Amino acid sequence: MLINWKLRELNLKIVYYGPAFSGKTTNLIQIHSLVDKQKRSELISLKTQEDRTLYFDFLQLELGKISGLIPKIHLYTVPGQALYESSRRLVLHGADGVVFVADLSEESLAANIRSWRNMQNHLASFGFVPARFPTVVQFNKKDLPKALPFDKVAGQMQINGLPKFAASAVNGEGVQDSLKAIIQAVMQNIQRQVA
Amino acid sequence: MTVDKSHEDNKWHAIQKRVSVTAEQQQTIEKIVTQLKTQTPALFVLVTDRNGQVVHSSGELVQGTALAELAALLAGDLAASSEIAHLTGTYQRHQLILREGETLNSFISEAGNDLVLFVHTTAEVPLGWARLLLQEAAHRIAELKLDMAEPIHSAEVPGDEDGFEKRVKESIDGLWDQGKSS
Repeated sequence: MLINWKLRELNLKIVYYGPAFSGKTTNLIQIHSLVDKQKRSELISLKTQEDRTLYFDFLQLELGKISGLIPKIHLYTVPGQALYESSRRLVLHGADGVVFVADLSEESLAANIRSWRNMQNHLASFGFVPARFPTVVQFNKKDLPKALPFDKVAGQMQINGLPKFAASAVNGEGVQDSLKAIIQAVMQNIQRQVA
Repeated sequence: MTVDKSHEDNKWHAIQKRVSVTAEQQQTIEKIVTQLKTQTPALFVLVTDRNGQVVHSSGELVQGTALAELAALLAGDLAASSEIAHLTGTYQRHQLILREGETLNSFISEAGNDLVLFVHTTAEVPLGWARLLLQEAAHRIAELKLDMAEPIHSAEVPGDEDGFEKRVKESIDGLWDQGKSS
């Protein structure tokens, strides 16, 4: 979080975290296409030659003024592949909120659990209580013929008490709801800190 | 769309690392950047925080939303480079990244714990001279100690009774391009 009192800006960082191929970049592509051009940056993607996320994707959104401050929301994705562990940690650092993108395909269950625990470990190492960190969970790929019920996946991942959305990011479903929920959660968190 | 409403009783309350730039500190940063740009002379100077959020820029190399993109990449570049240095046991404070070209050079440096300083010059500017001025500017910015700056005043972020949540929702709803959103 960066607050610039002269410019009246409130800069917030939201990270899309999750296992490889869960649809983190797809979320940002959809957001980029849905948001008014005047209110967003271009989408930056640092990719491998195989078109996989190498370091991060980035997109900035500018909300309308709230209580005299202009919120600027910085959206990042982490690389999902196992070998990019250090990069994931770097991108997650400084986040004000997280959208965890889980994959509802059956073969991804173990990867979801691994990635979820991995994220919680990183948050704890940054000094946060993971259970209290603003987090939204998106269960993506509900459109797959053999998609698991999202309640089942949430249960396996032991996710309780967090906003959850079933989504088909490739079709734009659940993308806006997840974004809206995490921005609200982050803003509520700021509000609670000063209350 | 399936939405779990059980979170509504959940209390978010993580204490975040907050970098706050007062109006006075911003003016000091602007002054340092102006001096650095003139003395070097530099084509472009940018100050961001370590998460890639723009604090101030001077010069016309990049403007508008492209500035946010550049800032995110610079912070990522410095973070990756610092991590490489840590992994190889070569990390030291006040190191900088130099990208040297035939006609243009650029420098990325830490400026204290919270900020990043980026300077873009022509290759006619001697590297040593640019580096000296950059490091001096970085030290001056570091002395501002932004992480200890003033907290958010509760008056700036009103409670529910002032319709804060409603305004947040309206502001988010205003993001979407008419006709495209679901």
